[in-house]
Amino acid sequence: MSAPRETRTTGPNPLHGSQPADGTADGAALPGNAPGAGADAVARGIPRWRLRVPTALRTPLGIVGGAIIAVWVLIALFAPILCPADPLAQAFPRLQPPGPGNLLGTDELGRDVLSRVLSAARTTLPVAVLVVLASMLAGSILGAVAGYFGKFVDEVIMRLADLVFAFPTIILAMVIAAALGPGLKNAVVAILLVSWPSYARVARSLVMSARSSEYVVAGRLLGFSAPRSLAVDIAPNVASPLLVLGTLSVGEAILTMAGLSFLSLGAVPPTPDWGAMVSEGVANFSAWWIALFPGLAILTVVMAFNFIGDSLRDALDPRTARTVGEQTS
Amino acid sequence: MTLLEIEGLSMTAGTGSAARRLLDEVSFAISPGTITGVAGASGSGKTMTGLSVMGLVPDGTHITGSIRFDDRELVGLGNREYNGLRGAKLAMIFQDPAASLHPMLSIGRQMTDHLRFHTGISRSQARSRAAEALERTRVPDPVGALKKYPHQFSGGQLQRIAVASAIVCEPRILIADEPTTALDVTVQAGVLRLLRELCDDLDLGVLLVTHDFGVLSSIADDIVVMQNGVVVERGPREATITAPQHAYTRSLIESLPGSEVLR
Amino acid sequence: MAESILQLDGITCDYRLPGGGRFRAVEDVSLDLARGEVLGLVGESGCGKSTLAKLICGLEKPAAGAIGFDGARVERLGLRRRPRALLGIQMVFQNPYASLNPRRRIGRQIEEALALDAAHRWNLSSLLAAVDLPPSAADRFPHAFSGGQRQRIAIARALAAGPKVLIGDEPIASLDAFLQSQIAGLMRDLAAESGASLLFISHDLAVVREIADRVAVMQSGRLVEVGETEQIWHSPAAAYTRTLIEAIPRVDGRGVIPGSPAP
Repeated sequence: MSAPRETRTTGPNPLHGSQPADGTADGAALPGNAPGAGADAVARGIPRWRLRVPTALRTPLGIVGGAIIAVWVLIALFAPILCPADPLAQAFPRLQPPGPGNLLGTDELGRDVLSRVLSAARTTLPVAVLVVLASMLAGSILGAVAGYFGKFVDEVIMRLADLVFAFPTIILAMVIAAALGPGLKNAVVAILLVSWPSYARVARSLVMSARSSEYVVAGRLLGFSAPRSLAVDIAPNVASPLLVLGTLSVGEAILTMAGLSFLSLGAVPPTPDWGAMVSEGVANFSAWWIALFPGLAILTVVMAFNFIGDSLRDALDPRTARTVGEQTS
Repeated sequence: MTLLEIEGLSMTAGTGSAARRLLDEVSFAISPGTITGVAGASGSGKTMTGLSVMGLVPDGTHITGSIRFDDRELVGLGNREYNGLRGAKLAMIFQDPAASLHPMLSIGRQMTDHLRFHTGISRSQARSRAAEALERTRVPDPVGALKKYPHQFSGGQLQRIAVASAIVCEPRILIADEPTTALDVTVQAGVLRLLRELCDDLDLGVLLVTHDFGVLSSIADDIVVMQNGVVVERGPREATITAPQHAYTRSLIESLPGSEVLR
Repeated sequence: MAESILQLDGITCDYRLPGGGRFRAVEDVSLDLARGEVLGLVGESGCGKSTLAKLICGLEKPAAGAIGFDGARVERLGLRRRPRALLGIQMVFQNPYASLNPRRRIGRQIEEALALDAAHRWNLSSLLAAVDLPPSAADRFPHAFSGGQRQRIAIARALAAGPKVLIGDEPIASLDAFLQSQIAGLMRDLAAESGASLLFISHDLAVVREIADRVAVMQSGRLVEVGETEQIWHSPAAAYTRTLIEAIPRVDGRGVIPGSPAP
C-alpha cells in the first residue's frame, strides 16, 4: 500500500533543491569527511569500517607486521617441506654450533634447531590465536552481560574478574596449569582463565555507555529483548576496541605460553615449542643458539601482532572521534 | 573604515582529483562597531569562514585568497605570529559554552591565563581585569564568580562568562559561532543584547555565524548568506531580510516558522 | 472531544541527586491526548518535558500517578521485553546522529519496525518515499545522510511500527532553522496519515504553533497552561507563556532584540 504523497504540506524545501538527494551535504564542510580512501565506498553504501581494516594495514608498521605474520603462516603451512631435517630425529652430533651442516646448530639431543623452530610455528601460532579468540569471546560476553544487566550479575562477574586481576598473570597461569597437569591443552585452559577479565572490563564499560544511547533505547521501544538488543544494537558498535585489544594480546598469549613451556607446563616434549626450546637453551647456556633462535621467532611474532594492533587502533580511533564533530556546520 | 577584509577566500580539502572546495571566493568586510551576520545551512561553509579568520583551519585543508586585519595579511601567517593575535586581537565564542570552558579549572584561572600570556601583567592585575570583564557582561557577583567552576553556572551565565573571557584582552574582532543556539529562548535575548552593547561600546567588529534568521534580524547590521561555500548574497540587514535578491535567501526566509509575521 | 488514547493522571517524577536528596522533575501533571490529535508540549530546558516523554515510554518510573494508554497501563520497561500492548507508543529522539544504529543498514532498521505493525499501513518503499528519500537509501548506513535526512529516517522507523501515539522529543532541536518547520510539518502529516496521535515536544513555540491542535506549556516540572493553539498564541493566560512568546525574535529585519522597545 502506497501512501499518497500529495497530502503533505511541508512548505518550501530550500535545502533539497541544492543538494543531491542522497548526498552527504551536511558533512560537506567537515574535515572529518575529507575525501580519502573511504569516500567513494561510502557513497556506494559500503560500511566504512569494513574498508578500514585493510587501510589500517597500509601504514608502514601495519605492512611490516602483516608481512611478518604472512611469512610465519606460510612457514607453518609448509613446515614439512621447508624443514631440512626431521624436527624430532636425533640424527646429528649434539650441541653443534650453527654451520653449514645445521644452519642454526643442533640441541643437546642432536636435533636440528632450524627444523624445530620452523615446525614449532605449527603449534605456537594456531594455539596463540585460538587462546586469544576464545578469551576475547568469553571475556566480551561476560563483560557485556555484566554491563547490560548491572546489579547482581555485574557484581558477581566483575568480582570474579577482580579476583583474577589480583594475581600476577603468569603466576596464576602457572598455578592453574600445575593443578591441571602439564600439557598443551591445560596450558591453553590456564591462559584462558587468566586472560578473559581484561576483555570483560573493556566490554563492560563499552556496553554500559552504549546501553543508554538513543538507538539502543529506540530498539527497546520497538520491543527488542535484552539478548537481541545486545547482539544487534550493541555488539557491532563496541566490537572494534575489543578487536584491537585482542590483536595486541596475541603477543602476550605467546609469551605466557612460552613462559609455561619454559616451566615444563606447556607442550609436552618432544613436541617442538618455542617456549620449551628457550627453556632447554637456558639449561645449556654455552650453546647460545638453542635459545636464541626460538627467542627471535617469539620476538618477531609478538612484534608483528603489536604492530598490527597499533595500526588497527590508530585507524579505528579517528573514526570514533569523527562521529563527534558531525553536528556543526 | 574596514577592520577585517576577506577577499577571494577559498578553502580546499584533499588534493588532486579528490579535492573539494569548502569555500569558494568568499569576500566581505567587517567594520568596527558593526555586527556582520553569516547565515547558511549546515555545510554552507559559514563556520569554516569564522575558523579561517582565527587561523584554525582543519588539518588537510588549504586556503588561498586574502584575509586582511589591521593592515596585516592573515593568510599564510606563521603560527607564532598567529598565537600573538588569537585570544588577544581576535577572539571567538562557541555554541556550547559548557564545552568551551575547562570543567576542572576555576573561572578566574581560565580568564587570566591567556590575559597574562598576552599582556604579561601581574596575577592580581589580571584578576581585577577579569572581574571587570565579568561585570561588563553582567555576571552576578563578578569577584565571587572568579573562584567558581563552570558547573556552578547555568548555560546563559556560562555564555556570558565565555564572552567576558573573549573580551578580557580587548580584542578588535569577535567571532561568535552560533552563540545562542544552545540557549533557551528567554535567555537568548539577554545574550543578544549583550553582544550588541559590547559591539557598540568597545567598537568591536563582530562576525556572527548562525542559521537563525531571528537572531540576525535582531542584532546584525549586515548579512552575508552562504550556500555550499559560496556567498550568494550580502547586504544590509533590513534589505536582505525584507527584500532578498537571491532565490536561495528567499527560500531560507520563507521556510521559517511564522514567516507570515513579517508580512 | 474525540476519544482519548493516552491519559496522564497526576504524574510526579523524582530524580535522585548524586549527593543524596531528590530533584522533582515533573510535578502533578495531568494531560489527555485524543485520538488523531497533535499536542504540542512546550517549555525551556530543564522544565521536565523530556522526562515526561520518558515516563510515557516507560523509561522512567513515576513517583506518583498513572499513565494509561489505549486501555493498558504504562509500566516501567526495565530489562524486560516491552509488552505488546505498549508497542503502540513510539518515539523520535532529539539527536538524529545518535538515534540510528550506525552499523546497520537503514532498510534493516526500518523493516524490523515494520514487522510490528499488524495493520501493514506502510511498506519499506512507501515509507521512504513518504519521508522524501530515494529507495536506494535502504541499502545505506546512517553516516551517509545529513542530519535532516537522518531525522526523516528516524521518523520513518517510528511510524513503521504502526504507533497509535507518536512522541517527538525535541525532534527538531538539533536541525538547521530552515529545516525545522519542514520536518515538524512532515511529522504531523505522516502521523495523521498513519492515524496516530502526535505529542510534539519542543522549546520552540513558533514551530509548535504551525503544527499543533493544542499546546501545553510546562515550567519547572508543572503544567502552566493547556489550550487551543491559537488561543495560547494570541491570548495566553499565564504570564510565563507570554514571556515565552515575547522572547521569540521576529524575522522582520528591524533590528529589534526581543523584550526591548522598538527603536
